[in-house]
Amino acid sequence: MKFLSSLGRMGLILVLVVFGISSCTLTSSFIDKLAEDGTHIIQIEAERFQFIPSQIRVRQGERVRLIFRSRDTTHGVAIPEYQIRKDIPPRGKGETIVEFTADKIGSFTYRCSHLCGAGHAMMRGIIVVEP
Amino acid sequence: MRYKTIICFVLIFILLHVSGGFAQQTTKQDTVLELMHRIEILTEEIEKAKLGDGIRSGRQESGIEERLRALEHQVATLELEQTSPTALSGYMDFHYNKSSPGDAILDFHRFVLLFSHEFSESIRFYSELEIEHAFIKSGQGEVELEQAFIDFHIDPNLAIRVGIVLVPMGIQNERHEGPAYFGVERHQVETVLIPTTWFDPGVGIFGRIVPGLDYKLYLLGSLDGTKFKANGIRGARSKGFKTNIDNPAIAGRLTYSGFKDLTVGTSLYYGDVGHKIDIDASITIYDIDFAYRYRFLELRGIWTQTFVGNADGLTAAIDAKDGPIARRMEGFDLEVAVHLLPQTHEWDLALFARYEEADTQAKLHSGFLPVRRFDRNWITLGASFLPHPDVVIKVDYQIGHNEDPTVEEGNSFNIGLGWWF
Ligand SMILES: [Cu+2]
Repeated sequence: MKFLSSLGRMGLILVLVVFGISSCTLTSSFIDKLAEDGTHIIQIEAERFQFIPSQIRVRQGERVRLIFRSRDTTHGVAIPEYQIRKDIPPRGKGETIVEFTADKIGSFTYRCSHLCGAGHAMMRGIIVVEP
Repeated sequence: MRYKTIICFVLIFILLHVSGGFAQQTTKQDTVLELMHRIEILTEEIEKAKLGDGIRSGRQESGIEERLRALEHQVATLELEQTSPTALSGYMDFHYNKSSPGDAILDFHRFVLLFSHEFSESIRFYSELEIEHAFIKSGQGEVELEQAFIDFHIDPNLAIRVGIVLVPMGIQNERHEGPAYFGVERHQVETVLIPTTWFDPGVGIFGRIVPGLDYKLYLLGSLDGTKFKANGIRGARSKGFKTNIDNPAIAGRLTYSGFKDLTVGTSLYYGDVGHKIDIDASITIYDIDFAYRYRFLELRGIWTQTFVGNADGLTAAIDAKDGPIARRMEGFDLEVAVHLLPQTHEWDLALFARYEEADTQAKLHSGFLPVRRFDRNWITLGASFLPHPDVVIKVDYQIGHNEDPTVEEGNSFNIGLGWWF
């Protein structure tokens, strides 16, 4: 038991470190690119109870296209600043695309707008519009 | 009494469905479909114009594009209107449990309804009402108000929460619906050591410190130290029933989700627990946890320890019968799961294995001997099949081991059907 305990502790720390490092290097696999017409395209995944990524950066004046895809149940996306509110279909049933022009500098919330479970109220992200 | 409760549930359910503007939705949906159809026609026209021999002028093309934008806006507005500020959802778990030794049982474990209402974009209400084990009588079954709070959003980085809240500890306490975890029953570590589902009335703040780093900090009703036992603190939850708030507990959690597929978290809980019997006693619980998903692989784990201040004083004061209250309790689990279908598929099929240890007698005051039967571990092997993202069929086999050689922890075979809507 003692042995298993310390083994477990060590294992947990090891796993954290390994995946911490590997995930840092995987961060680049986010889709965050500029289309030919200059539209800033960002793909965001939704799952109980978070958006991945939960913070995005765009430049003022940019046309922004967000592509939302669910990893599990039906979620939603509301971006009050741009009067956007749409459902995100459940896994395997397509994606939701929202577009807006980032006209104002500042930090704005995007949140889940479809009651999706016990942690629904925590499901939020931030759009940072930089000059 | 129980009939009244059930009738109330049914009435609320029907009322919400009817008042949710169901009748209106059909016509709005038709309008949306019609608009979408028109958008398709216009898009085709644009494509033809682009490919064509230049019969259409650039001006005509931009005219079509303007009409297209206007139509898209109309659709967006309609979709916005369609959403009612009040929402109803729910989840249910129906289980077959066969433990050996023991008889097989069928258990409608959870029937949960969630209600939410948006007063405005910055003031929102959320609740979760649960019936456990279908039938409520003293000592069996439960009706619980697990969440009922209002959030006041000040800015994207700060919000205030008031009401009955889930204590922000571990992974499962705040993420506890059937399709969200592997295994028919919730994890042992997060049942024995972090007493999931753990909720209390309180007030708190939450938000973001830097990109990816979120915090929660709550002041909550305290645990009742007189209900502490040698096998843990589970019985000490007030469950929101006239909770003592003279000595509020403090609970905080940090989660970092800045990595693409990894979320790491840590939680801390501290509270005074001797108030009922006027002795100085306290509890501190912390945990470190992570959840990782990359393509077909999923890993999660938690490590937690509980420290009871003045455990010997508490043991003497409450005349603990099944053994002394430990100064330290601890445990961990590690779970690995492999998904057999791609993430984009509507179905999901996953196999998982989990190892868990929970010891509520890890360290005692000198002069006390630990009760070894409260030092246990479990290996669970199982599968989850989701024929729909919101319906899960689970099967697992759990092998229990008890550190007391005279106690047979027993194994269990479990089948579960869970759904969410
Ligand atoms: Cu959601």
